[in-house]
Amino acid sequence: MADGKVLIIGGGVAGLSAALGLARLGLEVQIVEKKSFLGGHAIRFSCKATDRCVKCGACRVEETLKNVTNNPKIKVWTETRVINVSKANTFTIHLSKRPEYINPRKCTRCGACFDQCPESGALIQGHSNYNFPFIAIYEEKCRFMRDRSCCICQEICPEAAIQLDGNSQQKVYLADAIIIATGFQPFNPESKPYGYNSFPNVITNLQLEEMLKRESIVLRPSDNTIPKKIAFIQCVGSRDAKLNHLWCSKVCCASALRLARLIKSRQPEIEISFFYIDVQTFGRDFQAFYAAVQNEVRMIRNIPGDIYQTEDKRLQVNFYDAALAVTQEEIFDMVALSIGITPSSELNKMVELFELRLDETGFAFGSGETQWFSVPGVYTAGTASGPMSIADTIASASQAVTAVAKLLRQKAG
Amino acid sequence: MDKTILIIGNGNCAQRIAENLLVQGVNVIIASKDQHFEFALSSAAKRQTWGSIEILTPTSVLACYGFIGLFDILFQSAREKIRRNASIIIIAEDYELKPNFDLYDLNPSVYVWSLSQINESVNGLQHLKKNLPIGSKIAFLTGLIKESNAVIQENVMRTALRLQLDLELQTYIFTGNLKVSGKGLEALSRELKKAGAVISKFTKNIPQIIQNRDGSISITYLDEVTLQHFILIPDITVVDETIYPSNYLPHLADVFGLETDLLGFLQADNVHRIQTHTNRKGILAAGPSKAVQSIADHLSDADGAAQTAIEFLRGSFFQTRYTAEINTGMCVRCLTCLRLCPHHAISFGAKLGVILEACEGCGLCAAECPATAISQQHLQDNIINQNFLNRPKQIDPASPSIVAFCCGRSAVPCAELARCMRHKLPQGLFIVEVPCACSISIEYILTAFTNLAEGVLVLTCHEGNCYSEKGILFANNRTNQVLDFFEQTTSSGKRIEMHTIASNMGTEFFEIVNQFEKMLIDMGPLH
Ligand SMILES: Cc1cc2nc3c(=O)[nH]c(=O)nc-3n(C[C@H](O)[C@H](O)[C@H](O)COP(=O)(O)OP(=O)(O)OC[C@H]3O[C@@H](n4cnc5c(N)ncnc54)[C@H](O)[C@@H]3O)c2cc1C
Ligand code: SF4
Ligand code: SF4
Ligand code: SF4
Ligand code: SF4
Ligand code: SF4
Repeated sequence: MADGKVLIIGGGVAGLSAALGLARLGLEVQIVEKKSFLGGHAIRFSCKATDRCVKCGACRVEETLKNVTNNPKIKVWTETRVINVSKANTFTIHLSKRPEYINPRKCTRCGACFDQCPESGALIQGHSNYNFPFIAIYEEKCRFMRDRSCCICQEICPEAAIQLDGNSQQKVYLADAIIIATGFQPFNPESKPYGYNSFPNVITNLQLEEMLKRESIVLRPSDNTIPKKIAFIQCVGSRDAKLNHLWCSKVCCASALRLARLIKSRQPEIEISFFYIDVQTFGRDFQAFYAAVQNEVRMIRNIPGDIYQTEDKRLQVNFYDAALAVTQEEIFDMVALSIGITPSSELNKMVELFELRLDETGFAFGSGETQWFSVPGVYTAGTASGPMSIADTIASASQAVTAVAKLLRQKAG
Repeated sequence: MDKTILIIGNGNCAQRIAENLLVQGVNVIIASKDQHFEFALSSAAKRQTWGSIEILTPTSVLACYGFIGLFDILFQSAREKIRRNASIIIIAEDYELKPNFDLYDLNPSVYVWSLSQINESVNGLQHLKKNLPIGSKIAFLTGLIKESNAVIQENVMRTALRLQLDLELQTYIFTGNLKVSGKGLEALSRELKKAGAVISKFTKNIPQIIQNRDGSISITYLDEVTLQHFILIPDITVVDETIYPSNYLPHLADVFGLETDLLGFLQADNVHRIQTHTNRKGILAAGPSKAVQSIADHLSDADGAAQTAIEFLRGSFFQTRYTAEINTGMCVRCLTCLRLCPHHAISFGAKLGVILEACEGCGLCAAECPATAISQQHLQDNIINQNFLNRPKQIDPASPSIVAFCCGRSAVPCAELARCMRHKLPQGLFIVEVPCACSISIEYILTAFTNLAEGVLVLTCHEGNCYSEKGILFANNRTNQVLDFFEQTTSSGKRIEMHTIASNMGTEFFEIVNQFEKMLIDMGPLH
């Protein structure tokens, strides 16, 4: 194995897995993550085990993050972006890291700042024990960043770990290869007639995942009561010709049905309806899972037209009942929209920086070595190149690693 | 480590694994039970190949001795027995397709074809063209009685599209759920409909399919969209297929001691095994020997397997600090350990021993050895360490002393997460990290009680997520045994509980330990 340095853009499960693979081959790896916390979307997911593990893969993300944290070959840059790239024999990459407001070496995670901050959302918490620091400042919300009208956290932090007027850092890094692992963008369902963001009890499945992880049960957002009836609406933003989203997001049938069974096992009194087009096959025991879920969940093969809110903040869902050939109206306490995986707008920046090519759906073209590149040495991993599950993401990362290993071997002659 | 890797396989996946390894300077042996293994390096690979290759055909594996780094494999070839050494073994046998004639209660005839059959004919278009006039009706039955998957249905849709466009036939697809969870499949299904194919989906009342005496078919169905009844008499009815593992796999599972999934693929249904790991360190299952998946996924497995193999060769595989050790003086040669070790890490020769390279430190052997002849490195320090012995032992009824045996893969990170989420954990909680549920022996549980614990928690991974597959069952049995013992000796209720948990669920951890504490407080002190 030849020596080499690799830069990975994006610290979701794709970037983390690729980093581990490369480090284990003896390469030096840098991960650049624009957000405060590593782990991407999947670090926020809930375990969906009922009486046994249902192989959702969420805990694998936690484990991968732990292994990355403990690997001395991997260096992580959070709150950092790639500004500029030039390519000669190697890549010269200019990075910009936002000021380090909270010093991870000093912060003891006591949470004093979090409790005292007057602006909700200005301080955010990580999702894993391996997020360093565990607390971060969200610049858009923080009053100090806006008009310097508050610096409570800095004053009260017992460890003096907070420094609100730090400077951003610029770095130049040389790399032999680049892996683009910028992930996906969850579909924003505001444009759909489901009242998302105006009806409090219409949430996305991502929010439901987070709620189950945080609270371990489902509560109706408007009043924190236990809902009696929940509806899942599938394929929101996927398989949608009007949006020109001609793809299935691959993961939402599995995620929603596993969540539904989890809820049933914790709160059996809740009635769950599942509005769908087709149920996709997932897992090694799908046949048995599907049979079981049909007993616990009411399956309705139709995607509702629209949703209205009643006076008591319940939701009237209108759908077509094919069996009776009539339009039905039914009241639910809560609706979870299974929003799809869509291409991240970050990909456009990657197109500019690396001449990355996108396919007709807007995702990166291919992955690993099959990625068409005008600049040799640039590869993609994970959902940057299309919808995939955590397991598939880990597999695609291994393709990128293999491609890098081959390239370096070639270079070494 | 010797730099030779054995690949057992016969298709594209095996070929690609070999190529990946050769260009990294690794020597490869390919053993296939087929007559020939066509191995052609891609021209790019040819220019930069450093490893050597040996192809053994036709051979089948007879036996395998040794462990990661030093496997010793015995093959039967046409004429003789062959012996080879390899550091790592990768299995990539192609899977088999079997038509679902029985499922639909149909007999193959000129009117009833399998998916593979029509696929082959589509490739020789001329023949079909001659026999099927334009507009002939072709019906596909897929995923009606049993759920299908995207791999098979992609094949169905691609075939139908060619029949529809190239031969101008009228195709019908009868299915339950249309499987489009693969790259480009939603677009493909739309293209197919645009080309004029009819896709009928059934939720409850599946079509009635009747085979007449002459072998021809009539399909009667209720269309769920229009609510109208139809009868279709297709010129050809195509029955879909099910993917089965190669019939060589049961033998390989046996010879190598591999856990399989429900269908018989060589990877247990366990997220720890992602991407190509098996229960045996140094033996990998890739592509069509691993699971039902697309060809693209097979190739990605080829990359993943080669990469893992090279990681192993570099010595950078997980080395546990908890390896087991047999005190041969105490051993009564009952062979319990040999029988139970989930990772086949016990060697059986002149004397019994633990193969350190293969041992994952699960502790099952140590906990089950009837002669207590096995100990685990470092574990003793975790269990009765100074912190535990010196912990404040004032008997405070408001914060009873709780010992939680926590699996290092799940419950320990969970406890840490709970702490950083700032859940207030019981003051009397003392966490003992164990490498796996397997190692929580009855002795350890009792030790906790004799050291003044008021209650004991056993917190492990969820069933189906145990790194050593069955650790949870053993832990559960032992917990119940202690519980039985307690119920006979005291009447103060259940002071020991077992729960399963995943590493990312801090809140759940908090709920479990707090409820347990509350219960202990209600019960009053034990000591
Ligand atoms: C509702 C929902 C439920 C799901 N449930 C499951 C499930 O149960 N099981 C399962 O297997 N899969 C599930 N998935 C899929 C899973 O989320 C993905 O497989 C996984 O998150 C993909 O990881 P990734 O690293 O490719 O992308 P992401 O998780 O999106 O990570 C990308 C990372 O890159 C960072 N980044 C982006 N651009 C830049 C940039 N320019 N510079 C630096 N950093 C950047 C982002 O901040 C992010 O951290 C689900 C998906 C959804 C939407
Ligand atoms: S259900 Fe998911 S998170 Fe829970 S143990 Fe299984 S794979 Fe891990
Ligand atoms: S400065 Fe004020 S608003 Fe900003 S994070 Fe600190 S406490 Fe919150
Ligand atoms: S996985 Fe299911 S819910 Fe998601 S887009 Fe595909 S069919 Fe729709
Ligand atoms: S279980 Fe114990 S006594 Fe039995 S063979 Fe193994 S070491 Fe010896
Ligand atoms: S500790 Fe586990 S892996 Fe090691 S020898 Fe004992 S049973 Fe086998």
